[in-house]
Amino acid sequence: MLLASATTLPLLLAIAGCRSSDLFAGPDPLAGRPRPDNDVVTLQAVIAAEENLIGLYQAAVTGASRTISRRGDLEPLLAQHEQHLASLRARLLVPSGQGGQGGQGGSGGRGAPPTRGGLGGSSPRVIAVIAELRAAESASAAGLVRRLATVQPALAQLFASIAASDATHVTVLAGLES
Amino acid sequence: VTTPVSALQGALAAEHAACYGYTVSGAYLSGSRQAAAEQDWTGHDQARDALAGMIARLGATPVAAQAFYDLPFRVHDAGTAMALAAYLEDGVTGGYLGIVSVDDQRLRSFGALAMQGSADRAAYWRGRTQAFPGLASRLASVGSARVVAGEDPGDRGGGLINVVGDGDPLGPGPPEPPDAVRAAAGVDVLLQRPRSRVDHVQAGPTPRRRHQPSLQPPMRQLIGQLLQINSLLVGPFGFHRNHHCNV
Repeated sequence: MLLASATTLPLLLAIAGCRSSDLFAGPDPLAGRPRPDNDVVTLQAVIAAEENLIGLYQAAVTGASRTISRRGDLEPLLAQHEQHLASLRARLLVPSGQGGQGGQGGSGGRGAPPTRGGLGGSSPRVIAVIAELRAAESASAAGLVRRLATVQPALAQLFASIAASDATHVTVLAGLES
Repeated sequence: VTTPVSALQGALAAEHAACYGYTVSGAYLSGSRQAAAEQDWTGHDQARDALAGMIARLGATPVAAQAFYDLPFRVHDAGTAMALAAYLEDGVTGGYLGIVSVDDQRLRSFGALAMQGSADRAAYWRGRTQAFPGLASRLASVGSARVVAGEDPGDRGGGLINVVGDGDPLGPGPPEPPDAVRAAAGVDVLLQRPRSRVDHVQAGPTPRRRHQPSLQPPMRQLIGQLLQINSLLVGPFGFHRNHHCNV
Protein backbone atom coordinates (compact mmCIF):
# COMPACT_ATOMS: atom_id res chain seq x y z
CA MET A 1 0.00 0.00 0.00
CA LEU A 2 2.87 2.27 0.83
CA LEU A 3 4.42 1.73 -2.58
CA ALA A 4 1.21 2.73 -4.25
CA SER A 5 1.20 6.11 -2.63
CA ALA A 6 1.70 8.91 -5.08
CA THR A 7 3.56 10.89 -2.47
CA THR A 8 6.01 8.21 -1.48
CA LEU A 9 6.73 6.79 -4.90
CA PRO A 10 8.82 9.74 -6.10
CA LEU A 11 10.83 9.59 -2.91
CA LEU A 12 11.58 5.92 -3.35
CA LEU A 13 12.48 6.47 -6.98
CA ALA A 14 14.79 9.30 -6.07
CA ILE A 15 16.54 7.13 -3.53
CA ALA A 16 16.98 4.49 -6.21
CA GLY A 17 18.36 7.08 -8.64
CA CYS A 18 15.42 6.69 -10.93
CA ARG A 19 12.71 8.95 -12.30
CA SER A 20 9.16 7.86 -12.74
CA SER A 21 9.59 8.30 -16.50
CA ASP A 22 12.13 5.48 -16.36
CA LEU A 23 9.34 3.14 -15.35
CA PHE A 24 6.56 4.34 -17.60
CA ALA A 25 6.43 4.82 -21.32
CA GLY A 26 5.20 8.18 -22.51
CA PRO A 27 4.85 11.36 -20.51
CA ASP A 28 5.92 11.30 -16.91
CA PRO A 29 2.69 10.70 -14.98
CA LEU A 30 4.09 12.31 -11.88
CA ALA A 31 5.49 15.37 -13.52
CA GLY A 32 2.18 17.15 -13.38
CA ARG A 33 0.41 18.89 -16.21
CA PRO A 34 2.85 20.06 -18.87
CA ARG A 35 3.41 23.75 -19.03
CA PRO A 36 1.21 25.31 -21.67
CA ASP A 37 2.84 26.28 -24.90
CA ASN A 38 3.37 29.98 -25.44
CA ASP A 39 0.86 29.98 -28.29
CA VAL A 40 -1.75 28.51 -25.97
CA VAL A 41 -1.17 31.11 -23.30
CA THR A 42 -1.21 33.91 -25.85
CA LEU A 43 -4.31 32.62 -27.55
CA GLN A 44 -6.14 32.30 -24.26
CA ALA A 45 -5.24 35.87 -23.37
CA VAL A 46 -6.40 37.13 -26.75
CA ILE A 47 -9.66 35.22 -26.40
CA ALA A 48 -10.24 36.74 -22.98
CA ALA A 49 -9.58 40.22 -24.34
CA GLU A 50 -11.97 39.62 -27.22
CA GLU A 51 -14.63 38.44 -24.79
CA ASN A 52 -14.23 41.60 -22.76
CA LEU A 53 -14.51 43.73 -25.87
CA ILE A 54 -17.68 41.93 -26.85
CA GLY A 55 -19.00 42.52 -23.36
CA LEU A 56 -18.47 46.24 -23.81
CA TYR A 57 -20.30 46.22 -27.11
CA GLN A 58 -23.16 44.14 -25.76
CA ALA A 59 -23.69 46.53 -22.91
CA ALA A 60 -23.58 49.46 -25.28
CA VAL A 61 -25.96 47.88 -27.78
CA THR A 62 -28.38 46.86 -25.04
CA GLY A 63 -28.34 50.36 -23.68
CA ALA A 64 -28.84 51.75 -27.13
CA SER A 65 -32.27 50.21 -27.56
CA ARG A 66 -33.84 53.64 -27.37
CA THR A 67 -31.39 55.18 -29.78
CA ILE A 68 -31.89 53.00 -32.79
CA SER A 69 -29.41 54.73 -35.03
CA ARG A 70 -26.53 54.18 -32.64
CA ARG A 71 -27.54 50.59 -32.09
CA GLY A 72 -27.54 50.07 -35.83
CA ASP A 73 -24.09 51.57 -35.96
CA LEU A 74 -22.68 49.28 -33.33
CA GLU A 75 -24.29 45.97 -34.14
CA PRO A 76 -22.22 45.32 -37.29
CA LEU A 77 -19.07 45.94 -35.31
CA LEU A 78 -20.26 43.63 -32.56
CA ALA A 79 -21.00 40.95 -35.13
CA GLN A 80 -17.47 41.19 -36.46
CA HIS A 81 -16.05 40.81 -32.99
CA GLU A 82 -18.15 37.71 -32.51
CA GLN A 83 -16.59 36.40 -35.71
CA HIS A 84 -13.17 37.18 -34.29
CA LEU A 85 -13.98 35.29 -31.12
CA ALA A 86 -15.30 32.28 -33.00
CA SER A 87 -12.19 32.16 -35.14
CA LEU A 88 -9.89 32.45 -32.14
CA ARG A 89 -11.75 29.78 -30.22
CA ALA A 90 -11.65 27.47 -33.20
CA ARG A 91 -7.88 27.56 -33.02
CA LEU A 92 -7.67 26.49 -29.43
CA LEU A 93 -8.43 22.86 -28.79
CA VAL A 94 -8.86 22.03 -25.16
CA PRO A 95 -8.65 18.27 -24.52
CA SER A 96 -11.61 16.79 -22.71
CA GLY A 97 -11.25 16.76 -18.97
CA GLN A 98 -9.25 19.94 -18.92
CA GLY A 99 -10.59 23.27 -17.92
CA GLY A 100 -9.14 26.37 -19.29
CA GLN A 101 -10.13 29.75 -20.37
CA GLY A 102 -11.51 30.24 -23.81
CA GLY A 103 -11.33 27.66 -26.50
CA GLN A 104 -13.99 25.29 -27.62
CA GLY A 105 -13.79 23.31 -24.44
CA GLY A 106 -13.37 26.28 -22.19
CA SER A 107 -15.87 28.09 -20.11
CA GLY A 108 -17.02 30.08 -23.07
CA GLY A 109 -18.24 32.75 -20.77
CA ARG A 110 -18.22 36.39 -21.62
CA GLY A 111 -16.14 38.79 -19.73
CA ALA A 112 -17.67 40.54 -16.80
CA PRO A 113 -20.26 42.98 -18.07
CA PRO A 114 -19.30 46.58 -17.66
CA THR A 115 -20.91 48.33 -14.77
CA ARG A 116 -21.68 51.50 -16.59
CA GLY A 117 -24.76 52.00 -18.69
CA GLY A 118 -25.16 51.73 -22.42
CA LEU A 119 -26.13 54.23 -25.05
CA GLY A 120 -29.61 54.97 -23.82
CA GLY A 121 -28.62 58.00 -21.85
CA SER A 122 -27.99 61.56 -22.76
CA SER A 123 -25.85 62.65 -25.64
CA PRO A 124 -22.74 63.18 -23.54
CA ARG A 125 -23.25 59.68 -22.16
CA VAL A 126 -23.48 58.31 -25.70
CA ILE A 127 -20.30 60.04 -26.67
CA ALA A 128 -18.56 58.75 -23.58
CA VAL A 129 -19.58 55.16 -24.30
CA ILE A 130 -18.47 55.42 -27.90
CA ALA A 131 -15.19 56.93 -26.77
CA GLU A 132 -14.74 54.03 -24.41
CA LEU A 133 -15.37 51.57 -27.21
CA ARG A 134 -12.95 53.39 -29.47
CA ALA A 135 -10.27 53.33 -26.82
CA ALA A 136 -10.88 49.63 -26.28
CA GLU A 137 -10.64 48.95 -30.01
CA SER A 138 -7.42 50.93 -30.26
CA ALA A 139 -5.95 49.09 -27.30
CA SER A 140 -7.00 45.77 -28.78
CA ALA A 141 -5.33 46.52 -32.10
CA ALA A 142 -2.14 47.61 -30.39
CA GLY A 143 -2.18 44.61 -28.07
CA LEU A 144 -2.56 42.17 -30.92
CA VAL A 145 0.37 43.69 -32.77
CA ARG A 146 2.49 43.41 -29.64
CA ARG A 147 1.68 39.71 -29.43
CA LEU A 148 2.76 38.97 -32.99
CA ALA A 149 6.38 38.45 -32.14
CA THR A 150 6.12 35.25 -30.17
CA VAL A 151 3.49 33.21 -31.95
CA GLN A 152 3.62 30.97 -34.98
CA PRO A 153 3.23 32.59 -38.39
CA ALA A 154 -0.33 31.46 -39.07
CA LEU A 155 -1.51 32.68 -35.69
CA ALA A 156 0.39 35.93 -36.20
CA GLN A 157 -1.48 36.48 -39.44
CA LEU A 158 -4.80 35.92 -37.74
CA PHE A 159 -3.88 38.39 -35.01
CA ALA A 160 -2.75 40.93 -37.59
CA SER A 161 -5.98 40.56 -39.52
CA ILE A 162 -8.10 41.04 -36.41
CA ALA A 163 -5.97 44.01 -35.43
CA ALA A 164 -6.60 45.54 -38.85
CA SER A 165 -10.31 45.00 -38.40
CA ASP A 166 -10.16 46.63 -34.98
CA ALA A 167 -8.34 49.58 -36.52
CA THR A 168 -11.16 50.10 -39.01
CA HIS A 169 -13.60 50.03 -36.10
CA VAL A 170 -11.62 52.81 -34.47
CA THR A 171 -12.21 54.94 -37.54
CA VAL A 172 -15.93 54.17 -37.54
CA LEU A 173 -16.28 54.98 -33.86
CA ALA A 174 -14.29 58.18 -34.24
CA GLY A 175 -16.87 59.25 -36.79
CA LEU A 176 -19.70 58.43 -34.40
CA GLU A 177 -18.16 60.59 -31.71
CA SER A 178 -18.35 63.74 -33.76
CA VAL B 1 9.00 29.26 -45.10
CA THR B 2 8.45 32.82 -46.21
CA THR B 3 11.65 34.78 -46.47
CA PRO B 4 11.75 38.50 -45.73
CA VAL B 5 12.70 39.26 -49.31
CA SER B 6 9.90 37.23 -50.87
CA ALA B 7 7.36 38.68 -48.46
CA LEU B 8 8.51 42.23 -49.15
CA GLN B 9 8.45 41.55 -52.88
CA GLY B 10 4.85 40.41 -52.60
CA ALA B 11 3.88 43.61 -50.83
CA LEU B 12 5.80 45.67 -53.36
CA ALA B 13 4.00 43.97 -56.24
CA ALA B 14 0.70 44.83 -54.58
CA GLU B 15 1.78 48.44 -54.16
CA HIS B 16 2.79 48.64 -57.83
CA ALA B 17 -0.64 47.37 -58.83
CA ALA B 18 -2.34 49.80 -56.47
CA CYS B 19 -0.44 52.72 -57.93
CA TYR B 20 -1.59 51.74 -61.39
CA GLY B 21 -5.13 50.99 -60.33
CA TYR B 22 -5.64 54.30 -58.58
CA THR B 23 -4.77 56.18 -61.73
CA VAL B 24 -7.72 54.43 -63.33
CA SER B 25 -10.09 54.84 -60.39
CA GLY B 26 -9.24 58.50 -60.03
CA ALA B 27 -10.26 59.17 -63.59
CA TYR B 28 -13.85 58.25 -62.77
CA LEU B 29 -14.05 60.10 -59.49
CA SER B 30 -14.51 63.75 -58.75
CA GLY B 31 -14.34 66.21 -55.92
CA SER B 32 -13.42 64.87 -52.52
CA ARG B 33 -13.38 61.30 -53.76
CA GLN B 34 -10.85 62.12 -56.41
CA ALA B 35 -8.81 63.93 -53.78
CA ALA B 36 -9.01 60.83 -51.62
CA ALA B 37 -7.86 58.69 -54.53
CA GLU B 38 -4.95 61.01 -55.13
CA GLN B 39 -4.01 60.92 -51.47
CA ASP B 40 -4.12 57.14 -51.49
CA TRP B 41 -2.11 56.97 -54.70
CA THR B 42 0.53 59.17 -53.07
CA GLY B 43 0.64 56.90 -50.06
CA HIS B 44 1.07 53.81 -52.19
CA ASP B 45 3.77 55.48 -54.23
CA GLN B 46 5.67 56.32 -51.07
CA ALA B 47 5.14 52.83 -49.73
CA ARG B 48 6.53 51.17 -52.82
CA ASP B 49 9.60 53.38 -52.69
CA ALA B 50 10.07 52.41 -49.07
CA LEU B 51 9.60 48.71 -49.80
CA ALA B 52 12.01 48.88 -52.72
CA GLY B 53 14.57 50.43 -50.42
CA MET B 54 14.10 47.70 -47.84
CA ILE B 55 14.49 44.99 -50.47
CA ALA B 56 17.60 46.60 -51.89
CA ARG B 57 19.14 46.79 -48.45
CA LEU B 58 18.59 43.06 -48.14
CA GLY B 59 20.66 42.58 -51.28
CA ALA B 60 17.85 41.78 -53.68
CA THR B 61 16.48 43.54 -56.72
CA PRO B 62 13.04 45.01 -56.13
CA VAL B 63 10.38 43.62 -58.41
CA ALA B 64 9.48 46.09 -61.12
CA ALA B 65 6.04 47.29 -61.98
CA GLN B 66 4.39 45.75 -64.98
CA ALA B 67 3.99 47.78 -68.12
CA PHE B 68 0.25 47.46 -67.80
CA TYR B 69 -2.24 45.59 -65.69
CA ASP B 70 -5.44 43.74 -66.42
CA LEU B 71 -8.18 45.07 -64.27
CA PRO B 72 -10.45 42.53 -62.62
CA PHE B 73 -13.60 44.15 -64.00
CA ARG B 74 -14.62 47.02 -66.17
CA VAL B 75 -14.37 50.41 -64.55
CA HIS B 76 -16.84 52.82 -66.09
CA ASP B 77 -18.24 55.03 -63.36
CA ALA B 78 -17.72 56.21 -59.81
CA GLY B 79 -19.21 53.07 -58.31
CA THR B 80 -16.91 50.70 -60.16
CA ALA B 81 -13.99 53.06 -59.55
CA MET B 82 -14.58 52.84 -55.81
CA ALA B 83 -14.98 49.08 -56.07
CA LEU B 84 -11.63 48.91 -57.81
CA ALA B 85 -10.03 51.01 -55.09
CA ALA B 86 -11.41 48.66 -52.45
CA TYR B 87 -10.16 45.71 -54.46
CA LEU B 88 -6.70 47.23 -54.70
CA GLU B 89 -6.58 47.89 -50.98
CA ASP B 90 -7.62 44.31 -50.29
CA GLY B 91 -4.70 43.19 -52.42
CA VAL B 92 -2.32 45.45 -50.56
CA THR B 93 -3.62 44.16 -47.25
CA GLY B 94 -2.97 40.63 -48.44
CA GLY B 95 0.51 41.65 -49.54
CA TYR B 96 1.42 42.97 -46.13
CA LEU B 97 -0.18 39.94 -44.51
CA GLY B 98 2.60 37.89 -46.08
CA ILE B 99 5.17 39.99 -44.24
CA VAL B 100 3.52 39.10 -40.95
CA SER B 101 4.51 35.47 -41.48
CA VAL B 102 8.27 36.04 -41.50
CA ASP B 103 10.39 35.41 -38.42
CA ASP B 104 11.71 38.93 -38.06
CA GLN B 105 9.69 40.59 -35.31
CA ARG B 106 10.10 44.12 -36.59
CA LEU B 107 8.95 43.10 -40.03
CA ARG B 108 5.92 41.40 -38.52
CA SER B 109 4.94 44.61 -36.76
CA PHE B 110 5.64 46.62 -39.88
CA GLY B 111 3.38 44.37 -41.96
CA ALA B 112 0.62 44.38 -39.36
CA LEU B 113 0.58 48.16 -39.06
CA ALA B 114 0.60 48.56 -42.82
CA MET B 115 -2.40 46.23 -42.97
CA GLN B 116 -4.28 48.59 -40.68
CA GLY B 117 -3.81 51.45 -43.10
CA SER B 118 -4.91 49.54 -46.17
CA ALA B 119 -7.85 47.95 -44.33
CA ASP B 120 -8.97 51.41 -43.28
CA ARG B 121 -8.78 52.66 -46.84
CA ALA B 122 -10.63 49.60 -48.10
CA ALA B 123 -13.39 50.25 -45.58
CA TYR B 124 -13.68 53.80 -46.81
CA TRP B 125 -13.98 52.80 -50.45
CA ARG B 126 -16.21 49.84 -49.75
CA GLY B 127 -18.40 51.57 -47.24
CA ARG B 128 -18.13 48.76 -44.74
CA THR B 129 -15.58 47.20 -42.48
CA GLN B 130 -14.45 43.60 -42.70
CA ALA B 131 -14.01 41.06 -39.94
CA PHE B 132 -10.82 39.63 -41.39
CA PRO B 133 -8.97 42.03 -43.69
CA GLY B 134 -6.50 40.16 -45.82
CA LEU B 135 -7.87 36.83 -44.72
CA ALA B 136 -11.46 37.22 -45.77
CA SER B 137 -11.34 34.87 -48.71
CA ARG B 138 -8.97 32.41 -47.12
CA LEU B 139 -10.32 31.97 -43.66
CA ALA B 140 -11.57 28.49 -44.31
CA SER B 141 -8.12 27.20 -45.17
CA VAL B 142 -6.49 28.97 -42.27
CA GLY B 143 -9.03 27.39 -39.96
CA SER B 144 -7.08 24.17 -39.81
CA ALA B 145 -4.20 25.78 -38.00
CA ARG B 146 -4.92 25.10 -34.37
CA VAL B 147 -3.22 25.16 -31.05
CA VAL B 148 -3.83 22.39 -28.56
CA ALA B 149 -3.92 23.40 -24.95
CA GLY B 150 -2.24 21.27 -22.34
CA GLU B 151 -0.07 19.23 -24.65
CA ASP B 152 3.63 19.18 -25.13
CA PRO B 153 4.49 21.92 -27.58
CA GLY B 154 6.58 19.52 -29.54
CA ASP B 155 3.67 17.21 -30.08
CA ARG B 156 1.05 19.60 -31.28
CA GLY B 157 0.45 20.15 -34.90
CA GLY B 158 -0.70 23.05 -36.95
CA GLY B 159 0.29 26.64 -36.89
CA LEU B 160 3.05 26.54 -39.43
CA ILE B 161 0.76 25.53 -42.20
CA ASN B 162 -1.65 27.68 -44.07
CA VAL B 163 0.41 30.77 -43.90
CA VAL B 164 -0.97 33.01 -46.55
CA GLY B 165 0.23 36.00 -48.43
CA ASP B 166 -0.72 37.86 -51.52
CA GLY B 167 1.08 40.00 -53.92
CA ASP B 168 -0.03 41.85 -56.97
CA PRO B 169 -3.83 41.92 -56.89
CA LEU B 170 -4.07 42.61 -60.59
CA GLY B 171 -2.00 39.71 -61.77
CA PRO B 172 -0.48 37.39 -62.65
CA GLY B 173 -3.03 34.68 -62.42
CA PRO B 174 -6.55 34.38 -63.63
CA PRO B 175 -8.62 37.51 -63.33
CA GLU B 176 -11.41 37.65 -60.84
CA PRO B 177 -14.87 38.76 -61.82
CA PRO B 178 -16.54 41.57 -59.92
CA ASP B 179 -18.50 39.07 -57.86
CA ALA B 180 -15.25 37.76 -56.49
CA VAL B 181 -14.60 41.14 -54.98
CA ARG B 182 -17.83 40.95 -53.11
CA ALA B 183 -17.31 37.38 -52.11
CA ALA B 184 -13.89 38.11 -50.74
CA ALA B 185 -15.14 41.07 -48.83
CA GLY B 186 -18.22 39.41 -47.50
CA VAL B 187 -20.19 42.54 -48.10
CA ASP B 188 -22.50 43.97 -50.66
CA VAL B 189 -22.80 47.38 -52.30
CA LEU B 190 -19.80 47.07 -54.56
CA LEU B 191 -20.49 48.05 -58.11
CA GLN B 192 -23.97 49.15 -57.23
CA ARG B 193 -23.73 52.72 -56.12
CA PRO B 194 -21.00 54.91 -54.80
CA ARG B 195 -20.71 55.34 -51.11
CA SER B 196 -19.29 58.42 -49.68
CA ARG B 197 -18.13 57.03 -46.41
CA VAL B 198 -17.89 54.11 -44.06
CA ASP B 199 -21.39 52.82 -43.71
CA HIS B 200 -21.68 53.04 -39.97
CA VAL B 201 -20.59 56.62 -39.73
CA GLN B 202 -23.49 58.99 -39.51
CA ALA B 203 -22.06 62.38 -38.80
CA GLY B 204 -19.71 64.64 -40.62
CA PRO B 205 -20.07 66.34 -43.98
CA THR B 206 -16.76 65.26 -45.40
CA PRO B 207 -16.71 61.99 -47.26
CA ARG B 208 -13.06 61.48 -46.42
CA ARG B 209 -12.35 58.85 -43.88
CA ARG B 210 -10.97 59.84 -40.55
CA HIS B 211 -7.80 58.35 -39.41
CA GLN B 212 -7.22 57.38 -35.84
CA PRO B 213 -4.35 59.46 -34.55
CA SER B 214 -3.23 56.87 -32.06
CA LEU B 215 -2.72 54.29 -34.78
CA GLN B 216 -1.17 56.29 -37.56
CA PRO B 217 1.83 57.90 -35.86
CA PRO B 218 3.32 54.55 -34.81
CA MET B 219 3.11 53.49 -38.43
CA ARG B 220 4.99 56.53 -39.60
CA GLN B 221 7.46 56.11 -36.81
CA LEU B 222 8.00 52.48 -37.63
CA ILE B 223 8.49 53.20 -41.28
CA GLY B 224 10.95 55.88 -40.34
CA GLN B 225 12.88 53.50 -38.15
CA LEU B 226 12.89 50.69 -40.62
CA LEU B 227 13.40 52.54 -43.79
CA GLN B 228 15.25 55.65 -42.75
CA ILE B 229 13.33 57.72 -45.17
CA ASN B 230 14.81 61.16 -45.41
CA SER B 231 12.77 62.40 -48.26
CA LEU B 232 10.45 60.94 -50.79
CA LEU B 233 9.98 62.51 -54.13
CA VAL B 234 6.53 61.98 -55.48
CA GLY B 235 6.14 62.18 -59.19
CA PRO B 236 3.34 63.92 -60.99
CA PHE B 237 0.05 62.21 -60.59
CA GLY B 238 -2.22 61.79 -63.55
CA PHE B 239 -5.48 59.94 -63.84
CA HIS B 240 -6.19 58.15 -67.06
CA ARG B 241 -9.00 56.09 -68.48
CA ASN B 242 -6.92 54.06 -70.87
CA HIS B 243 -6.61 50.70 -69.25
CA HIS B 244 -6.87 47.06 -70.00
CA CYS B 245 -9.80 45.11 -68.81
CA ASN B 246 -10.37 41.42 -69.03
CA VAL B 247 -14.15 41.43 -69.08
